[in-house]
Amino acid sequence: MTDKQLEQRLAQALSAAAPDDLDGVLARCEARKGIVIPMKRKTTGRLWKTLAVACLALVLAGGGGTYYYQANAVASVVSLDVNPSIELRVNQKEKVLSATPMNEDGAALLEGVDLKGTQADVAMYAIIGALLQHGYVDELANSILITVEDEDTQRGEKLQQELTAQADAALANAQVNGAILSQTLQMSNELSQKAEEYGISAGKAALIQTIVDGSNGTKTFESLVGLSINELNLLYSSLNQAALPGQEGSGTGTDTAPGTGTETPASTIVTSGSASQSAYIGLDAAKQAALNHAGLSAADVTFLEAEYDYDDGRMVYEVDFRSAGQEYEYEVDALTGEIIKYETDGSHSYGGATTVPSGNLIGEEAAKQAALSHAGVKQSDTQYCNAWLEYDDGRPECYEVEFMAGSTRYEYEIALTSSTVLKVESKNIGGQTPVSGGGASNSGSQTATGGNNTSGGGTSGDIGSQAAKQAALTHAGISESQTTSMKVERDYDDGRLEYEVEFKSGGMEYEYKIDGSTGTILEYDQDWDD
Amino acid sequence: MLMLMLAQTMEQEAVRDREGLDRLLAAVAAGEQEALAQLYHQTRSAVYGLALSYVKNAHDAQDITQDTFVQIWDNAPQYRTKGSPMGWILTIARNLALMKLRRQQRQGELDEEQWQAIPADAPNVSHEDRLLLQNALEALEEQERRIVVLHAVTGLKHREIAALLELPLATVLSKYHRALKKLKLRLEGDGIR
Repeated sequence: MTDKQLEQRLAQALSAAAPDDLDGVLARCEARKGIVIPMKRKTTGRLWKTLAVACLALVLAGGGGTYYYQANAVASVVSLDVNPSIELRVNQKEKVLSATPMNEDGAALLEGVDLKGTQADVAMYAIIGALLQHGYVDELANSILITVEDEDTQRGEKLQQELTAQADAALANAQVNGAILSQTLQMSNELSQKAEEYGISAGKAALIQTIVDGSNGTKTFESLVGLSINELNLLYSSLNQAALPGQEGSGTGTDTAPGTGTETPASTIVTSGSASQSAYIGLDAAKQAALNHAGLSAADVTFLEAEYDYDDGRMVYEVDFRSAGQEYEYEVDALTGEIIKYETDGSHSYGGATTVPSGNLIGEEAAKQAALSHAGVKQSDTQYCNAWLEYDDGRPECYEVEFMAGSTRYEYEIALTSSTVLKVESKNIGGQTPVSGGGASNSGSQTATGGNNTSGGGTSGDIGSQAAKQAALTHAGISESQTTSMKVERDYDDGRLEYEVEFKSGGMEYEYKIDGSTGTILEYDQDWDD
Repeated sequence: MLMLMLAQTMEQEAVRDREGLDRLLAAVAAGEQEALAQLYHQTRSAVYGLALSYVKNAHDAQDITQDTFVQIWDNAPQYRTKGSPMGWILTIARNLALMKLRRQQRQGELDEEQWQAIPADAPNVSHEDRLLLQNALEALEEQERRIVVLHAVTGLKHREIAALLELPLATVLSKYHRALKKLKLRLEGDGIR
């Protein structure tokens, strides 16, 4: 049974088992039609207490309970992100029409709570209160993102201010040093799509986009999606500091998307408070770690830059400084203080690596010569010939030499300090083996190189690609006409001539490794073809 | 059998048709019951499948399915096209399922609960179907189950499933392949091929 068949069977079984009770659904829908849905008062969630307190607080504060008649049109969409992500739809009178959780934490927070009909700022106060109670905002991660989406920018900004003020008040009330990021944007298809694609709120998508745009191409949307709002806030503020030293909160516009035709929303992010770095070692500790590693003291160096960054899936501090005419660049793990990467003027190295003194290395030119002479090919006969130092885990491992002679491509690994050949691979790109030459597609390639003769190296017997293919087919018990995607490759592995045969048949994928001189099957693997 | 398969395929294609779903949701928002009926037929097995993968028993999954469509009716006016109507529908179903689970957890109802994939009185369900579903639910881990069901029934792409379940794409892919392998092994053990 193939995957597809299995899925179809499953779908069919579910279709048979799923309830088919449209009448039951319609009966309930009809009953609701035209009736204003009352707020559900039956629940006793903790949030309700907070909400009641908040309402009271607001009334006492002199806001007064002017309740307007509810209009059902959505005027603004407010999203609130901490880790719980919640979206509030708000009408013209700033009343909440609906509150939708955008992720599981959001659902947990909103469970049993109906904010419908509440004033948006009251809802905000209540939600922040609940966030605090549930421990989503604390000294380790204190950032909150408030986003107002509104066609009417002025109205949106007014709402943004009100909501931010409420959030501030809620945080101050709880004596928490929160950091609030807030922005007003116009609904844009592009952002909505991104938000939908990654399952995040449009607000978070806009924040990420702003960071991506300000990063000079060093960040991608995808790499930042998994970060928390606090981490994004840290990134955002270090970007801003880099751009405008000492400035705290002026945002850069989101990108102008070509082709959408609509006016692109310019989002301006307003920040208050600063994102908590308590979970991390802090800039000073990062600087110290880099200095210790370089064996320098703060007095010896001029700091050029020290900022918070996100690289290769972890939060890091980037520390750059200059000392005695040399420039140092460090990347320090923000959680552990470990040195991840460092560079000194062009030469770069990685944490923990013991560098091999360059005097002992034979050099790229010598490596090239070693490979060429092993293959019996003159450099002038190659179409190209490249050699470079290969690193593994930050340590130089060997030299790699690649060149092409005739229709054969060679890949060599040469030892670092002697000219020993560690590994050879040669591949005939023409598709046919030189031995069975007649059918070769490009007739001119055999001349003048000498490469074809020597590519066989010490192997006397070569069964040829046909025989190798046949050996694989016989082993699999199928004929060639039953296969698709047949691929035969001639290869050297550990100095031995081998054929790699791959094909598909009956929903399976086969891979064979055949000894090039005997036709023996060395390895085989078959798997479901996905 | 063939007709069934064909109907199945058409149903899946209908689900993949985003614009069609968007149009239906817009009509539902405008209060057209006929549109809700169509939506129900196109997406009920996806909603049920997802619900089942959370709550593990047929009766709860049936309730959630019905609640989901009632909520769709109520909330469709607030739906904004964002490219994945199916994702929106399934998010509702998932949230309802999670709420139900939490309620049950609080009430301590979840001890040693047996899988009950199919209501005893389901005339359309063949013995084979029954076995297949039971196996799919029992043999797979929680997340594997969801991923396989979603992929098989909803027509969502792995990327969309990843977004819905809040998992990395790579995790979804690897779990999906592992789950199908497991399921095949299990079915072959039971003599279904």
